[in-house]
Amino acid sequence: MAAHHPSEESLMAYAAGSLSEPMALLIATHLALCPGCQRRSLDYETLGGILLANLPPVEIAPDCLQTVLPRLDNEAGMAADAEARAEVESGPARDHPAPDDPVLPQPLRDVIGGDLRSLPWQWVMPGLHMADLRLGRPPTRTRLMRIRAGLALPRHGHTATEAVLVLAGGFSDEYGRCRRGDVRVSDPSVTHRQVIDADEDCLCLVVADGPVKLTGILGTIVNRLKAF
Amino acid sequence: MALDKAMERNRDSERESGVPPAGSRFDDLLRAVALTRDRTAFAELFRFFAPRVKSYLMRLGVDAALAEELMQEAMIMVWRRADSFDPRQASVGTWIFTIARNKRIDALRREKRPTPDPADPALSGDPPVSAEARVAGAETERRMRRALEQLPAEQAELIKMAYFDDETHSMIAAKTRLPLGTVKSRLRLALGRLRRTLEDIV
Ligand SMILES: [Zn+2]
Repeated sequence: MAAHHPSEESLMAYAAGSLSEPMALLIATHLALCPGCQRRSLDYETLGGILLANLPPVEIAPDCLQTVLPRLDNEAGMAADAEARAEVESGPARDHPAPDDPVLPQPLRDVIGGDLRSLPWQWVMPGLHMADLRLGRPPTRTRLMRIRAGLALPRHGHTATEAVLVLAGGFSDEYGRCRRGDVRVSDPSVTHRQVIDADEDCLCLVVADGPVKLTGILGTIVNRLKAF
Repeated sequence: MALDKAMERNRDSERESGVPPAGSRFDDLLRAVALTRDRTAFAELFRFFAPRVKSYLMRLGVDAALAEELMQEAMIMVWRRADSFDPRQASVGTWIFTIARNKRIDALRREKRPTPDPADPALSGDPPVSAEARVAGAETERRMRRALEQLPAEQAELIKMAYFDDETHSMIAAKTRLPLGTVKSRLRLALGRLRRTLEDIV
């Protein structure tokens, strides 16, 4: 059961359909793990329905209904729709079979497939690997991060907003403990030093609008390592 | 029984606040579409929702021609998916709103919107919200309307503006001539209040 949730603003923006694709993915993945937020986001869909009904109607093409009526039972359209529907019900076809990896909720599997090993993992520092999911527009980057159990990350700050969703394992820092399902949003005012739980590797989805800022002597060393 | 009462109240509150007809009439029309493929019922839904769906799309920055096209596609989907509408889960307005929203997202991304699947084997912890555990769609809508009415006018107005704005809220800042940080903190307060009000309504 998640202890740290996305803000009401982001639940509303998710329901309204106005979140960027990376943030929509992060929120959808949290919702898959958090019935409470799922319920709250449904409230915002209800709000959307009410606001839609209250919007001032705009002019539509005068013959609009007449053009739509013959299309209703158009066979090609019906077939395409049935196909789309079957896909929604059984999940889209995949190039590689998706094993039942219990770590990845379905919204994430839809984007990256079921096999974590097939991702382009890159070594960042001892015990830390990242895979870029190539989602969203620069400077935003969407990545999975895998960190070895027990590792203490160097203290760092953030140049822009960064949202983290824990998928497996967990970490602790000055602000508390985060485990599977938890969402942590850090803005540039936050500096912290995360220690990964000792019993399990930590897997996170990270949506960052800018890079982290390493501080302290360890940060300098990591920056040097990264330069190689 | 409780549901009938709820709908009765729903209709009452609509008369009070002068909002467009909702609830049971739309339910009846959509049911007629699902069960008997009733084109007259569809035409009535179309006349109410089509100009508003287009209005919604244009408000989010879709140009008029594309908005017209997406609106038609959304309304055709209302016809084809009518049998999957479940009044326990959502009101008709909410259901049509989500169809229009997803049409726009699909058009933007040309791929599927990530949504949680209740049958997902990766789900752990509490079971997802089941249809039985949810209050009926019309009841949820009634409570949300009440909560909105109980908010101070400027907070309700801010939420309405923010709903159809993008997540940066810079448009509201420009319109209200407030600093962006102020807009964001006021919105946070307004949504907190809406949430508490909603939870207090029985
Ligand atoms: Zn949550």
